[in-house]
Order: sequence, then C-alpha cells, then structure tokens
Amino acid sequence: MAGSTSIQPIAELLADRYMAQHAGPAVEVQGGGSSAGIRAALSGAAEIGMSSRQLKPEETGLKEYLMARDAIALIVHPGNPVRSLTKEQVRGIFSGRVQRWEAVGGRSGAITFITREEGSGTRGAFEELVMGKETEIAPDGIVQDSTGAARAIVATDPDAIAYISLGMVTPEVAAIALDGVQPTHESATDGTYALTRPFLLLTKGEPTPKARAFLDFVVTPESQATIAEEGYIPVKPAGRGSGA
Amino acid sequence: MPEAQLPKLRARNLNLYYKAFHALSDVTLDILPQTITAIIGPSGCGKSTLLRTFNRMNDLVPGARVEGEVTLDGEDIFAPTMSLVRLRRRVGMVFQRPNPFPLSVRDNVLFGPRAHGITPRDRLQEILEASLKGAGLWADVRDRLDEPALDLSIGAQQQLCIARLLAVEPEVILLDEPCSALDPYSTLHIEELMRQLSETYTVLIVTHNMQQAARASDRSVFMLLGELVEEGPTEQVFTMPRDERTEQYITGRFG
Amino acid sequence: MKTKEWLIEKTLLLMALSAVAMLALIAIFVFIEGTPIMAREGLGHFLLGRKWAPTKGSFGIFPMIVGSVWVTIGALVIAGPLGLACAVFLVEIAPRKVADIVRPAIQLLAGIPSVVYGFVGIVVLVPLIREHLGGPGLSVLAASIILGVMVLPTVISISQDALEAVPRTYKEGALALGCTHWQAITRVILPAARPGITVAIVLGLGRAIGETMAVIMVVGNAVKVPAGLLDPARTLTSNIALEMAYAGGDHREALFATGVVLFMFIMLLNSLAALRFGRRRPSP
Repeated sequence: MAGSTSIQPIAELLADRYMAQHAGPAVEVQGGGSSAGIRAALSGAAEIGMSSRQLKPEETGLKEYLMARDAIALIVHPGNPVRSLTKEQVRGIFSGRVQRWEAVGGRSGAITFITREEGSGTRGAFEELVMGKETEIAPDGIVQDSTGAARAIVATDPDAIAYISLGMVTPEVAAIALDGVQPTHESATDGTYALTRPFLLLTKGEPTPKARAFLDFVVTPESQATIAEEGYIPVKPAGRGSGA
Repeated sequence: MPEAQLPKLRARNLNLYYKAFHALSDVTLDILPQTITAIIGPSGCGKSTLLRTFNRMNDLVPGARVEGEVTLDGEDIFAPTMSLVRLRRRVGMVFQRPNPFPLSVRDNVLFGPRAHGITPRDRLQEILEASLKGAGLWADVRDRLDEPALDLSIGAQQQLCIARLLAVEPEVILLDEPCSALDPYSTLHIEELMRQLSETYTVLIVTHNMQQAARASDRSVFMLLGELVEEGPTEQVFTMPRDERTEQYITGRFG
Repeated sequence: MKTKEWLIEKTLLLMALSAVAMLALIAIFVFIEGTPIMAREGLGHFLLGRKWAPTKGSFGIFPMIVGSVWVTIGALVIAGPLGLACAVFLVEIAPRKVADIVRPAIQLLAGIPSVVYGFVGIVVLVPLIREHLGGPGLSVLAASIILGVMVLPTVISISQDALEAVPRTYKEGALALGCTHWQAITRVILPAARPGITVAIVLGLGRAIGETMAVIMVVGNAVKVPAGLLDPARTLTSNIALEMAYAGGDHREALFATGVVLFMFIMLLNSLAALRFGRRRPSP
C-alpha cells in the first residue's frame, strides 16, 4: 500500500498488528502523498492506495473504503471568551496578519499561536484545509513537535491558540467552533464541520484476497479502537465505504 | 627559670581529645618570650598537636575537643571574646612541607597584609622587602618577585613561607618540623634564621631531629604518649635529663 | 601467560579503535550528507540567511545559530555561579551530614530524563514567566533556566572534584596567616581550583549546547532571531530534531548541514578549552 503521509503512520501501526496476528505475506506501507497513492492504486503499483482527501470527479475507477476520519480542532484556554472563529479569522491569525484577540472579538491581548513542525501530518492537513495554497503559516510562530506539548501550552496560556486532532482534545482546553460549527464526533462524521478529511483506502476494482483481509482487519473493533487512541475519529464497522 | 620573665604562652592542665582518642593529657607548660623552645618526642607523641593548639589549628579537625587553659600574654585563647583571626595573626605557623600558594613570590608575601586590609602600595612594598629580608630571601628573589613561588627551590619555598608569616607581624612563630623536607644546607639556613628571629619573636619548633633541637634551641620539651615528660633548658635536658624516659629517648633507645 | 596478556592487550586496543572509528564514521557521515547543500546554497547564505522554509527551498540557519548561542550563554550564566556556589558550599561549608545527603541528591538530578525537565518547564516555568515577565513564556529565558538546572549536576560535581583536589595545606596556610575562612576560599582555594572549574564550565557548556528534548519543549522553536530573553527562539539541535522525522531531499541535507554547524561549534568550544588548559598556570 502507498499514498498519504498522513495515513502512513496509523497504517504502519495497523499493518504491524495485522502481521503479528496473521501469517502470510507481509503488508508493506509506503508514503508518497495522496495523489501518488491514487495513481499507484490506479496503475496497480500498489494493491491499496491511501488518500487523505476526497477523490476528484475525474479520478474514477477506484473502490473507496473509509478507514477513519481526521478532524482538526482549534483549541484555546478554557478561560478565553472567544468560542467561535471564522476560517478567514483563523487564517489571519496563523499567517500573522491578526495579532490581537480584540480583533476577533476577544479580550485585549496578544495572540500566541502554536503550530506544528514542518512535515507534520496535522500541520499538512491544517495547511491544506485552512491556510490554502496562497497563505503560509508565519515562520515566527511558536512551534511544538507534539500534540501533547501544544495542548499543555494552551491549557496554561489564556492567550494561546493551537490546532490538534479532535480525538486529542481534553477538558483542560476548549475546542472552539469554526464558522459556527462546533467540532464534535457527529459534525465531523456528517461533514458539517469543515476541518475534516477522510482517510480513504482505495483499490482498483475488487480487492485481491490479500487486500480484502487487511481491509477487513482495519474495521475490526480492535483496530478502530487503536485508531481512536491515535487521535483519529473511528468509523463504525457499519460506516464502511460503499463503492464509487 | 633565668629571670622573672612573664611567659608568653602558658598551658594549664591542657587535655585534648580527637573523638575518643586522648591526644594530650594534662599538659602544663610555660613558653618564654624571645626564646627558641623545641618540642621533641617520638612520632605520635602529641608534639604537633600541642603546637597546633597554640594557634587553634586543631579547630579544623572534626571531633577535636579541648579542656584546660591556654593563655597568650595572660589572655585565654579559648575565650569566646578571642577572635581566631587575631590569634592567628599574633601566633603564626610554618608547616612541615613548604606550602606557598600557587601565586607569585610577591603575592605570597603580601597575601596576609592584603587579606587584613592593607592597601597603600608603598606600604606593601615596604612590607615585602622587610619580610623577605627578615627571612633571608631578599637577595635571592629581588629580581624574581613576579615569578611563580612554586618555581623556587624547596628550601627557598620554606623561607618564603616564613617571609609570608613575618609580613603579618606575628609575636609567636610556630614551626612544625620546618626542615623535614629540606636538604642539610637549607636546614642550617633555617636554623640560623630561627636564631635571628628569636631576637624579636617567641619561637616554638617541633622537630624529629635531636641534633637540631640540641644545637638550635634554648629550651626543650620532651613529650611521650600525649604527656609532657620533661621541660627545661636544652643543655640540661640533653645532658642531665631528670626523667629516665627522656634519657632513653635521647640516647636513642627508642623513637 | 604471555599470549593471554598479548590477547587482552590487543582486544582492548581493538575496542578502543572501534570506538574511535565509530565516532569518526558518524562525523564523516554527517559531513558527507551536510556539506553538499552548503556548497549549493553558498556558505554565507546558509549561515547568515534568515529565512528557513525548507519545504519551499529557503535554507537560512542564522536564527538557529543565534538561538543556540543565546540559550547556551543563558544556561551558563545560571549554572556557572550557582553550581560553583553549591560546590563551594558542599566542599567547604556544609557539615558532613548535610553534604552526604545533598551530594547524591544532585547526582539524582543528573539522572532525571530531559523530557521531565521539559514538562516541568512547560507546566510550571513557562506560565510563571508569561504571567510575571510577559511574552509567550516559551522563550530563551525558559530554555536557559531549564538548561541551567540540567547542567548544574555536571558543573557542581566537577567543580567539587576540583575544589577537593586543592591541597589542604593551601587552606591551612591561609588560615594560619589569620585569614577568615571566606578569605581562604576566595583568595586561595578558588584560584587554585580554577583550571578544574573551567573544565566544569566547558563540559556544562557542551551538555547545554547539545541538549535537545527539554529545549524543544520550552524554547518555542520560532524561526526568528530573538530580540530579547522573553522571545521564543529555535536552537540548532531543536531544528534538527523537530524536522528530521519527515524530512527528505534538500530538507534532509539542510538538517545534516545544521548538524555540521553544531559539530563545528562544539569543536571550537573544546579546542578553546584545550588551549586554556594547555598553558601552564598563568603567573598572576
């Protein structure tokens, strides 16, 4: 299997678990990015492609299996009165254009925004879903290399804002609404919350028996529990993808 | 005693313990001013301990405890009002191994005066010259004042230690086997120096060397197992000892 | 018997050589990986460039160099005096019993994993700085304090050894001249222990400049030249550790090049130290 570097870590973890439980041919996981994963699945270079974005209309001929969802929540200190931001405001904050909380309806204070390191999957998703192609995250922001560290800072700093996987939100921080939609399991699942992306596994036509076995493994309750532990939103076995 | 001289130092029923070890027992002794008193005895007899009591260097030893009385010019050196700093300025000490500081010759000599707050340059220069002259070292080092003291010969280092002591103008000089690390020539040199010093200062020397005690001291004290056995004019102690043990030691039957 | 000894000797030699060879290989590897991009970008550009956007083709590590220097100096300003004072206290002043308790406690401090220091930094120190001094809290100051504490055991125990190695006779000599204990410490013992104390400081410096984990957590990692102690910064080590996991191509080479710069830094430091000790005691 090959494709999205965002899916790669969790896919590797599941592949290890799978191989530990099942004798037989090894499952190999490679990166390359979502587009490469789609191409690999189409060309047959990989039995399973991995994509962390929806397929475009022109990308046809693939069967989709939803393994999980990734939702990114914006978090602030629980004492911060700001409970909702627009995507435009968030873009302003992380690009360094908006520097004061009062400019987005908060108390007077300088905004401390916390981003993840270059190359992080969460950062990649955030850039893709929020920043867009034309705006960059300002280089002089605080950078932390783990969700835990980012969360710990927001938990103690009333002026901080960070983005983390929805599954990692704890009561010591407050997840805020984006464009009026509160990030929850439901809103992420039904797609009303904007900062989500599906983790799709793709096969060209019917999967091979070997691929089928792994695809089944991914949606077992144990695997889904692992997915939840890693901070992603699990899909119930019933939510398994339908053919496209 | 030759005249009715007042003793410079006086010990009365002095007992010293290192934890349980009884290092000095019931020592009673008068040290006369401007004389050289030698303390002799075998190793471990307490002679260095006695010497180190006079400037309270034993205070540094954990577990050391003193009973009895020691006075300097009639003043109790263990009294709470006695300042250690003042006591040690008045009762200076030269150690067994020369211990110049890792500084220049000049800084060694001026170490004490500077620590005691003397700052005028010409005053320090005076002290430097006078002290080195007093220790018989001036001619040798006058051109090497800024060289490291540790580059001097070992005999010269001991002289430097004496100069360093003279610079703080003590009244009593305690010498703890000052020649044991030196060659015979340097030893003679130090003995001559002691003789000169005794014109001004009260000198106490602990020595292993019988000949040295015999030729260089005015009075001798013989100690054994922490006890003071005999004390008197050197000539008498060496030629007509009153105590049998002194005689045995002097004639080389033990020690 | 002879052959046995010969065998042991040669085995030890082989072990020593392989240790050296491993170090050499690591150094060579880092250089091979890191130098091409320096050549391509131009050394001046690489070292003095202020923009670091490795996925977009900008490789300037000047902010990280400045960050490392600031944080290391800061750590030293804290650990130097504090460590020395502590060593003097333990060797010269503390009663035996107190010293016997404090010494192992300090050794223990050295055994705490750096992530714990970092965590304490984030949870306790960073909020303190933010509330009382301002700024985001994640800052050069926070990193300096955490590093200072981490380096303390090194500075204390080596200074302690240096102080204990000063002959007792120096102290006795000073006391016998009527010096106070304090004068003996400042005028004789400390100067005599100076070479050893310098070693303590240099080793502390080495540890500070190389420490990564705790620094990443509290320094903020912002790619900009810090304007003050309360500004976030990024150090050379945190730059490497933050991004190495995902980096490929030029980005990866640039991180290795960062490693080369760090390597040079430590070499420079060590040779400076060697130069200082190489000389005989300077005559004052």
